[in-house]
Amino acid sequence: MEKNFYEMNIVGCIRQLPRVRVADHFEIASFVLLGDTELVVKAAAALAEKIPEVDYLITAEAKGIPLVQELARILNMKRYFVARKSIKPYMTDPFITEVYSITTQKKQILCLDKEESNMIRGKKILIVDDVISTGESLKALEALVTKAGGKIAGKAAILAEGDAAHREDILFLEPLPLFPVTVSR
Amino acid sequence: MNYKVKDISYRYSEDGKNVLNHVNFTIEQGKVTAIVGPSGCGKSTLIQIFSKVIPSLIMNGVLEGSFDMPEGTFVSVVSQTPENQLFGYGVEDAIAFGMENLGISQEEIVERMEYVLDLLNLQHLRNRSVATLSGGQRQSVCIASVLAMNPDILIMDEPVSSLDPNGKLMVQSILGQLRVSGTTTVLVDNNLVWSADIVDHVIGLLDGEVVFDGTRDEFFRDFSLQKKLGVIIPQEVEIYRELSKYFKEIDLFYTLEEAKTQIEQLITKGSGLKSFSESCSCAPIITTHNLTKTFSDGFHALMDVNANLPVGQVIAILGQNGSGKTTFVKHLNGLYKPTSGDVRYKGDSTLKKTVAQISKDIILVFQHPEHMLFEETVERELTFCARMQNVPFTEKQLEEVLNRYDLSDERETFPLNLSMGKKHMLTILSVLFSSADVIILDEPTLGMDDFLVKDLEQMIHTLTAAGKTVVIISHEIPLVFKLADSAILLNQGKKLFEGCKEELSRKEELFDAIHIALPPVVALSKSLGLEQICYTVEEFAEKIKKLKK
Amino acid sequence: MDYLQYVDGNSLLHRLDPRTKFMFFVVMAVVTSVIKSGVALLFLFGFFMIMWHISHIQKYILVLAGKLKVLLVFIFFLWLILGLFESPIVPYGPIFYKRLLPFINGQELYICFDWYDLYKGGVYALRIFLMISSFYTVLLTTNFSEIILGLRKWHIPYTVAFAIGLIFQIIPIVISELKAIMEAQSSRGLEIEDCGWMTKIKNYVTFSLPLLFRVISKGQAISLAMHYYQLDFKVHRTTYKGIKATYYDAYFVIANSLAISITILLRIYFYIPV
Repeated sequence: MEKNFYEMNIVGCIRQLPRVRVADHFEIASFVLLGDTELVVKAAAALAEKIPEVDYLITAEAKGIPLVQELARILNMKRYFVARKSIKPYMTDPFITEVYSITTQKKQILCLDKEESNMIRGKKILIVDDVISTGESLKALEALVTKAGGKIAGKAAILAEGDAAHREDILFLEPLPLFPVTVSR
Repeated sequence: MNYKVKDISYRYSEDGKNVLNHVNFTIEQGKVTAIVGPSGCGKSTLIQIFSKVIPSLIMNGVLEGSFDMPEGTFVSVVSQTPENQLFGYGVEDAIAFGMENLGISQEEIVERMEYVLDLLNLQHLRNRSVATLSGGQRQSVCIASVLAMNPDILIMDEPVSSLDPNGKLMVQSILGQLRVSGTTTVLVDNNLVWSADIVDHVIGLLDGEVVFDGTRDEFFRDFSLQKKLGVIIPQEVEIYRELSKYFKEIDLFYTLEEAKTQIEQLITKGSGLKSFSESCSCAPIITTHNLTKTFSDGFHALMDVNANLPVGQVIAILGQNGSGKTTFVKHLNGLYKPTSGDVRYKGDSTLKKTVAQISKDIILVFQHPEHMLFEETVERELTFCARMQNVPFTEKQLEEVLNRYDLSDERETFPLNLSMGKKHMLTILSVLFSSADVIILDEPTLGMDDFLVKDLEQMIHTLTAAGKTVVIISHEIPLVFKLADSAILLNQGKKLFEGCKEELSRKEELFDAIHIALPPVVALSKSLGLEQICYTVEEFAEKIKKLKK
Repeated sequence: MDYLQYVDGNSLLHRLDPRTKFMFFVVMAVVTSVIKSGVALLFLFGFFMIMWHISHIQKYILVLAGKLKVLLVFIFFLWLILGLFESPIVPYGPIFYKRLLPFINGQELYICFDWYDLYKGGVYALRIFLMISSFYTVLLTTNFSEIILGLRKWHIPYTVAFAIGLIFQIIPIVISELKAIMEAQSSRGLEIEDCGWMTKIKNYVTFSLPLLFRVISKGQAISLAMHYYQLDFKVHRTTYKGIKATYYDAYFVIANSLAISITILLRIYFYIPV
């Protein structure tokens, strides 16, 4: 009998992640942080003990937002940043990086308001996300922060998926395996 | 033909103290007689006299009086540890052993073998090897092997003390069979929970003297006597005891069904359980992550167990034997290393630490105290953990513990000379002086009478009051429900449930799945429509009183 | 240690009369101590392998081989080194190295490393292995109840037979007791993993005391149980299970006789004095 979810224990929250076939040869367990108050609170508390001292936190929309909000609250930070994936009307003077995605074969942008990018300049910045897998969105955020003149002090996530779990440069709470599918006979 | 115990007195040496003092009673033929009393009351000596171990193997003592039985009466004994009593590789070999010793002809052995296997419903085990049997099966085969010798009196010495609920049921049904078949049976056990429905006649012993001799019903009505003897009685009877204070018309009952029918007539049915909000959100002190253990013979003992042990709580691990309970706790203190997965104490993995290093945080107290005791005096044994872990302790603390748990007189005693229950208590007490803040107790009530069980409850409260976390494995389900705050349910290596007691009590289907019965108070709280589930008899009686018609 | 005891099964070897198996061991012990021909022993080894394979016990024999590895290598090299000091007795086969080496007192030492040294080492190692494995083959497929029964049929006194059977029954108990004591003590903070060898030895001494008490109390329990079961060596015991030689035993004896005859023939025709 094939289990169609993967159960894991993340800082004392046991969650069943539905398994989704994303390619011919493997499945991933999909992790949804949005809406899970208990997990956000506990994971943020656990991460807060691991991360180095920084000035600001940044994430890319959308799944990392609750985590970065809670983390900033614990760390007593009045502000944090969310990089948007399209230019919004409120941005009077948008600050943009363009990244080429290998997986989607498309150009993708990340942007902040000019005022936000100014605040980042010269500051120690921690990049936060829910899951780090291929590392592509991470790279895009790194590019954005570097371009704005910030210093990347660390990269943190709740889960590191697949090969990302072996990376030395990221902080995470739990590894998340990929599930190879043996092609059916 | 009845067997008479006539004015028996016994001391183990010429100038020793009498362990039995002018004991007189009758064992009725074809009935089940239970001999009860606290540890050290002389029960075991009595067995030795009946079975002629005294005087044929133990010769130094002084025996006065006599056990009157016709010439050639044969008494045999089933002990509490069947593994010491089964000679032979296969089940058939073991059952045949005694008959072969008697020199019975092969044809008759075959005949009696079939008879006992049929009588005790053990045909399905006949081709198994003894080593692969479960505890209950082993005890059943042991009873069969003794029964096959056709004894006139069959003595059972605490036959279920080390069995899980399934094993207890198996031996219980065998005892029922014996009664129906008219075998004269003497049950020596201070725990009447499993046998209450079958026993005919009860003898109470205290300090070597008979303090009670009467029928079962008389015994169960005599509350002060039960207390004095430290007899562990079925929770149904405890319920009767409490309720009879408020309801004069209530009649003695032993089973859940009787209890329900009787109480229903006395009260107006409640409105049913109030819903409760799930609020077990204590931070976990130990977490396990996809814990998996496969033994070298390919047996999957644990499969992907994700569990959280909340800090400062009493957590029960429930399941039948073989469900993975002991394997699970042995991973918590590092005795076993997982095949895959992780165990973390306060967020840090313990896999790279040695058992002794982990014991500073997490300590495991074993089932059999003899494995743990190895100092020359009770005092040194008590401070063993403290000395191993370099935890300071004061003379005052030591004296306090000794006094509180009735060990001050035995301070200089050689630990192995204590009674089974006290030995066990001693190993558990030694963790009081350790630095560990998680204490795991594997079957702590083994060999304990009611007095010691009360002490144990006390001690667990002391530990949790000091902010420590207690993990407990026990087959005494009513006790578990009384003590625990939350539970983890294992079945065949998988976790079926984890959460607080309240939530667990509402999930009857889980208990059906693992063949464990809910404690009577919990079951009755639900079926009588109480607003809240009660976990102790006192609490339950209070609630019932309020619903009085 | 787990594998060096009876393995439950229903193979050809399991179904044999225990007496046939005892005979098998005795005969093989004689054969392997008399025959020193490499070819003959290789043939016998092949025969054993077929037998193990048919009875599905080859994996336990592998475990045994693993445990005997050091001993066998030692025997091999012992005879190889002894052989270095002499020329081959028989003329055929290559010689790898031959020289006179200077030795103390101006004397010279003759060293001759040749195929025959390897042969000799191999033969001795194989003989020891065959001897031990034939004993082990019996042990693996005969449970202690059958051992007792077989010995009794050979008119060995029941007291002796029972004592032998009891030993087989008690050894695993003692091992598991020791394991339980070690686990229990390390759980209470006694360091037994991460410590020097001196401490390790000290620990074993400390464990021996509770183990001794456990074994004594086990012994007491067993003697009590023997009393309960009316075990009296003076009374003539009967037996429930009879053992009878079946046609399996006949096959087994025929196959073994054949194999031994071939072994002897090979020994006659391909003998190299060792």
